[in-house]
Amino acid sequence: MNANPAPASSVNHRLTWDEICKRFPDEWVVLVETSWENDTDFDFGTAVVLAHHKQRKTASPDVKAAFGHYDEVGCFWTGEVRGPIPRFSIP
Amino acid sequence: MKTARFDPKGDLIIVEGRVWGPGERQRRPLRLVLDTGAAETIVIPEVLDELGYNPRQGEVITVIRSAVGREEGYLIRVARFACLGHQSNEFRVHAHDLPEGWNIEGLIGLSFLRLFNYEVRSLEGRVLIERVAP
Repeated sequence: MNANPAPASSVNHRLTWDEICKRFPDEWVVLVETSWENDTDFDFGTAVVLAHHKQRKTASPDVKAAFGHYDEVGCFWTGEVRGPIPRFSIP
Repeated sequence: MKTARFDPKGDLIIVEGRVWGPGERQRRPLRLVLDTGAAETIVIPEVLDELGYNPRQGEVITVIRSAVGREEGYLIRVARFACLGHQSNEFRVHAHDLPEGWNIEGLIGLSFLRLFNYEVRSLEGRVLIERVAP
């Protein structure tokens, strides 16, 4: 039995990825109980949002706490992924 | 042959990955950018820390020099790493910060990709991956 309390859940029911993105735009969401559709893609049916943060680093304590209760915990950005700076640019 | 899908309208090829913690009980799903221009597979240190890895377990301290300066990271072997429908045990990743605004948790580089033959079908938003027997 784990002595750590479960992180406070922001949303206590299951949501699809589209619903999560609409409810928490441009945020990092901590997801558990994710019903993955396969092992190659990001597609899933629904998940539970445990926490949401503007900065990735501030989500870490919630992810660590969630691992006290779940074997799989994800942290995903709901907004646009800007990605690496281009290696070449045209002035 | 495995197939991984990505958004063909996106600026980047973003694929699903997973990394396991020590003991392989706990795991983190990740969204990673497929980057054939990167030698190493990069995972941000937060992910490894959350899974229970310690920088002291790292094999080598590394430095990445970029236009904005010099940043230190480290190479570390994770118990298991999976991406593109395939997995590798005791896989070495580069733990290194990525700029906050990128909003990704890592890059899939050639250290993983060279284990396979793969074909990126950009218009279709698919990567076809075939593991080659050693």
